[in-house]
Amino acid sequence: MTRRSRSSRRSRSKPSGRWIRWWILFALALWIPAALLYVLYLDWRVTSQFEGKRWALPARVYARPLELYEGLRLSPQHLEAELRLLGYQRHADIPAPGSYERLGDIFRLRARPFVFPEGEEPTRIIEIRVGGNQITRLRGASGEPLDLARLDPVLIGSIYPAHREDRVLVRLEDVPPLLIKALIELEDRRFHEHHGVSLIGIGRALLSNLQAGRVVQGGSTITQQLVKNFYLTGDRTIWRKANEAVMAVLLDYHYSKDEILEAYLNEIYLGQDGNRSIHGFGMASQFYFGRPLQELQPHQLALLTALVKGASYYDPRRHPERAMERRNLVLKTLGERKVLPMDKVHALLAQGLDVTARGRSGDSPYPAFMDLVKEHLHRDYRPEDLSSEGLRVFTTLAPDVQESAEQALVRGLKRWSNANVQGAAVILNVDDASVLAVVSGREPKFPGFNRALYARRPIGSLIKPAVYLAALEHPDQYGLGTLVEDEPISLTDANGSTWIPKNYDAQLHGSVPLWQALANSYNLPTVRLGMTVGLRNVANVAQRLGLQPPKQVYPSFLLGAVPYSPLEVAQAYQTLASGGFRSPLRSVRSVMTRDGEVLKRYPLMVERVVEPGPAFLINYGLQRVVLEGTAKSASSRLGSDLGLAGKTGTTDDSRDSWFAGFSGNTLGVVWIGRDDNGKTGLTGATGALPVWTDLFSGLDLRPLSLAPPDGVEQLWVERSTGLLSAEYCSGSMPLPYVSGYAPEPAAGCVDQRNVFERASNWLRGFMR
Amino acid sequence: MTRDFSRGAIVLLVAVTLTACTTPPVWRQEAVSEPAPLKPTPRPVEPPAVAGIPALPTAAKGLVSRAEQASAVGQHEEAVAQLERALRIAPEHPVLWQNLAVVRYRLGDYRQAEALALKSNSLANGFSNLKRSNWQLIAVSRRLRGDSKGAAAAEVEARRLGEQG
Repeated sequence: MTRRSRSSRRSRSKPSGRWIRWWILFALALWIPAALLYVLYLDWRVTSQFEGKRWALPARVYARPLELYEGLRLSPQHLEAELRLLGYQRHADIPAPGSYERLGDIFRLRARPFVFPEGEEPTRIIEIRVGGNQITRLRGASGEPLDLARLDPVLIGSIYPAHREDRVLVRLEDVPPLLIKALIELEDRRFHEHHGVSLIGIGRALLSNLQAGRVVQGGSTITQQLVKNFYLTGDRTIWRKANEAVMAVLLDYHYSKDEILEAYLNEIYLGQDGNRSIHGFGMASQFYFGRPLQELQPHQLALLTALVKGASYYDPRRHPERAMERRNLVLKTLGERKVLPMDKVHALLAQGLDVTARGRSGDSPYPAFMDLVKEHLHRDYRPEDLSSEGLRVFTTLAPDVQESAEQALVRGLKRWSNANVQGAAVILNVDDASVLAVVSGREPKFPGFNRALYARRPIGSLIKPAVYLAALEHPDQYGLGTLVEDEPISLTDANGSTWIPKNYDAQLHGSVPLWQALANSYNLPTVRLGMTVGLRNVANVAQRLGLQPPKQVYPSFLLGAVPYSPLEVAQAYQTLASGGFRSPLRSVRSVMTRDGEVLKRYPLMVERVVEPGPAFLINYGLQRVVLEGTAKSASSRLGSDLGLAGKTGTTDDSRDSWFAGFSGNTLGVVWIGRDDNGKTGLTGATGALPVWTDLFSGLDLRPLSLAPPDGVEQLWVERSTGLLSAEYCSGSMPLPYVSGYAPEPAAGCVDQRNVFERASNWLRGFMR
Repeated sequence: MTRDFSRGAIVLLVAVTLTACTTPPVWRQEAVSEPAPLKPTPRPVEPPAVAGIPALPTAAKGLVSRAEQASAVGQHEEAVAQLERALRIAPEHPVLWQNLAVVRYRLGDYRQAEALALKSNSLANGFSNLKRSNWQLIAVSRRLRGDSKGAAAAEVEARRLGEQG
């Protein structure tokens, strides 16, 4: 640099021919190596980037796969909805994987192959007969019985990097040959002959551009197009064009045509969805047709070929006429060049564009559930791994349950004219503590504040099972028939402030049996009971169920003056529903690499936190809530033979309305309230419960049939006194008790009872 | 298939109870590398534990046998995954929960083995043989976790059920 500046100074000070010659020679000596160096640099870029090229592949998040077997509770509507979500096409001949036919209650489908963490599911024909909302027959292609089959899982979302390039990688051998032929015919006829750039192609382009007086045709080969997409920015300068040509030659020199073609198929830009760009034919196929590339028909492949010319100009959704024109040009060209027979081309020209109404959005249709999944994944994975490694995440979401839950909540919220009334719902599978659905508000398809996960609101009477369970864990002192006083109570804390709880109906009911106080959600007996059992014990039970108690527990804890999220409530009720076994809720079952290697499984974890006896008794009480207590509208609508159990919750001045309840297999928590904590005027029974009932009416439920565990027996108890009675005594009712802890016998009926029992003993002896 | 697996589990458990008490770590290593130490059974083979328990649905049976195969070659996590699929088909079947407990035991996760055996028991009313083998598994698991008092209590339960049966 210093020498050069010196020489230029001299040349200025003393201009002569000799110096000019020197200057030219010097410049050449400098520039030829520089150009060489530059080419070497391009070569390094081409090779290092091509070989090291690892497309950032977003993690794919899947719903639970639908397992099919005889006896599965499944309505035909749910089955068909699942097939639609999967993009299965209805077609009488079920010609290809991803097609199905329905004749009444019989479905025939050709399932897609899929690699699961638990093994590969082949493509095969499955015949399903549904009757009485369950699968009554499962058969294979030639009518042979099938024990078990599962469909591919619905893709429910992807986890993107910041710039949101989206692609589904395809291998060359999996790409329909017609697509490759079409691309070569339309984009680069001499692809297999040229060395990266085609002088003939450039000449032809130049000619037509000169004729038109503007740029109408690019002379780019497929290799150049790849270079442009791969390494360069989009500006159209001579300099970039030169770079592109050099790099194309280098690329062609280093790599085989197949390698270049495969990279091209995965790299080329084919569409835009908001801030997400669609790259490669794998993703484009999903984006425009909602199905994998392998399943596309010739006219659909032709449309994708057409898009290469200009994905936004020929956007089939925004400019269908242009797209159709270009697609038909592709088809005709294929006919003229004998790639397709002409008669077939004519048939294809008559086909519509066939694109789905909306692109399979990159945004999940279930953003609330995705929040839960992301929260889980961020515990074990770095964000860059999630957005670039193409991980496959298998979740527990059940699309049919999710859709039912969303619809029920939206329907329910519409009933209250106030647009400020919000809601949330969490649905679980009781058996394995998996989260089936999460709804976070009245616009469930849009991401936003996730009330199901993060809105912590006082839970009111939902806490009461913890109070009653704490009592029932002392069978020597409490049974379900034990009388508790529904009388005023006032409590004064250490600071001298007094708390006077009231019943919701502001009535006093005298002495009521424990089960009835729970069923009718009386506040005063609950507070009395809780104070006698001890706040510490109640807090301990709540903690075991899965609710983290506050640091300082006040008596108002007994009436649920503590905030929890719907998800936390669901965790606690899951413990109850599974008979006292607490299992951390799961939204992710396993994570697999894109090569099919299982990275991590999240198995079911179980811990027994409540003894079987008390667990049975509290669930018996929760069944009474639905059968005849504050939630009896649910059993009158859904039927009492489902044995539903649950609890309503209402907070002060009717701000929050809760219901948590379960059948044998499914648990649901619904919250209705306002973000600003304003009054809704709703109780648990008038707000959340109808939504819950509506929601559960759309699910495939298994009845909750509680079997008394060892050490629990049924006794007849006098309702008015809670004393031991007998079946034939008036005013008595059967209640389960922990064996050995029967209440004291009632005075009146006992003697009679003894007489009867002696008689029956005598009879028994006689019969023997 | 269930019967076989369950019987296998029982026989295994018998072997476990007898060997584990003396040299638990050795057995555990054997179980991981060579997970079918069924031959040296010092007692006659037990009668099937599942008498009277409703049969598994065929869909679940296939998964149980897959789990059995996976566990037999040391792929216990794979076995867990298959058993969980079976559980979603027949969630109230106590044998499945016991199988899950046995696999967790083989994985050395004694806390889960105990909890899952308790869960199996909560669904096994009236099936005292199944309950007894669960209590045996609980006893061994507790002992291996150093809870000898709990183990003794579980053994009492197992013996009581043995006398009943």
